[in-house]
Amino acid sequence: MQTYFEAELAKLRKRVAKMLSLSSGQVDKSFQVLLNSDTDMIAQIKHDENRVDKLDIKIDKLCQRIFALAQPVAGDLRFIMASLRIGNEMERISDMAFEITKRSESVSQYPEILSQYEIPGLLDQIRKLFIQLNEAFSNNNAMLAYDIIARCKEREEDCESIFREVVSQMTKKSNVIIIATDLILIIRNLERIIGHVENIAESIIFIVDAKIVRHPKLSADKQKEEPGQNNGAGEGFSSE
Amino acid sequence: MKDSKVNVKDLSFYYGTNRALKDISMVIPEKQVTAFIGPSGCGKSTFLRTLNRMNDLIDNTRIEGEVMIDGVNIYDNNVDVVNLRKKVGMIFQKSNPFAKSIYDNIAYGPRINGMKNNNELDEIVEISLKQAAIWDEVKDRLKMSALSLSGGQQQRVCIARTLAVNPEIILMDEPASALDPISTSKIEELIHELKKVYTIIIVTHNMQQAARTSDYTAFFYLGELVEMDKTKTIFTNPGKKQTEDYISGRFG
Repeated sequence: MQTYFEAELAKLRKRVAKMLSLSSGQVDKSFQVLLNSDTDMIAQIKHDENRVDKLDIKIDKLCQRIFALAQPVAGDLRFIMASLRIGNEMERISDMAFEITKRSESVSQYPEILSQYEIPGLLDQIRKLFIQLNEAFSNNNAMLAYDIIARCKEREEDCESIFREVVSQMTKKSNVIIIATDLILIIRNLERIIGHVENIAESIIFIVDAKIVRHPKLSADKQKEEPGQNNGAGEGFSSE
Repeated sequence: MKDSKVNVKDLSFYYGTNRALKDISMVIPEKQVTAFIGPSGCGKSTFLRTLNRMNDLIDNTRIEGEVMIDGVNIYDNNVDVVNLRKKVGMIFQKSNPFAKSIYDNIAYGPRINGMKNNNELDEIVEISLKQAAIWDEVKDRLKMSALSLSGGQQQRVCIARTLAVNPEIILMDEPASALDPISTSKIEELIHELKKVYTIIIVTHNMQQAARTSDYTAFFYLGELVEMDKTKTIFTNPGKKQTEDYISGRFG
């Protein structure tokens, strides 16, 4: 039988999964606005943004209640801490998705420019990141989360490369400045979305492996003394 | 890890034919707080009592293995049990002051050890009560019965009584389980202060108390030591699933 505490944890997991699904959907819709000038999507994105914001607050309140009433420890504690972080990241992703739509009107008129910079391919890769992210969270899959982080680094490099090319074009052709500015802002928002995806993947690793990987250099030193490395019989404390 | 104070090797304990403790090996560090946790009947209190041979008082029991304190096996034939219990004091779940004055409770141990000088006794009583963080509350009524104090105060008087014979290790068997939150908090603060001088081993059913007060935590289940590690590790990322299930309230 599920205890009250377990029911609260299940509720939290369901809400975080729902928020992940909603913010992934918003990103996907913003890509449709960009690629297909599908402006009908903008209202849906805005509507979903409200739902994401409400869920963000609900997650905060639920975590606060669990902390106060159940004093969670170990894996439960990590899950709740990570849920707070993930909620925050998704709320930011939701904002970014809406920002993309604001800059899409001019750019989407020139599909050849989007193709020139291979943006449709980049968007496909970002969509895949979200699919993997949902899977990693649902299945507590830390290996997949590590893979997501590696893919995020590659996509960030793609964004940086596109950014440099667009800036280079701007310096050569003054008539592209307006559309190039919008494109740069879109790229920057994509870059931030990828950054948030990376942070969520790091939180999943924290839940599953109890490792803090978000500042690799710092955590490499810290892990030596922090929890996460024990084998159940630390420093000779064993009955075996 | 700090220097070890107690080193237990392959300890088994039997009540008749029932093996209550199974091959326990453990190193307990000096001047640290070590907490024993586990469900009722897991053997943690039995194990605690093996550390000052309190189980010797129970008929039809038997022990195997070694308990080394400062390099001496306390179960060797030539060990003086009275001296051992001076060195390894004990605080029980229910405060048990004698039906005597507060002063006489504290002076009891030194007196039976031959101390007669009143000035020295006065000094020991004052120091012990101060160490037990109760001096300010009782200094004006030392001749009153210890039984007239509140439960929390009585427990601290018992701690002072233990300290008066100058122990090195203090065993605490659920010392705050019968106390209200304020008295519990005082005992926990006291434990924090006492570990500067003494090695403290505490049995508790209160997970948060183990987390708050101890440096190391050992989890017992069905007479076995499942896991022992730094408390911060046990409560954030225990090595064994059984430990995690217990501390998060999923069994026991």
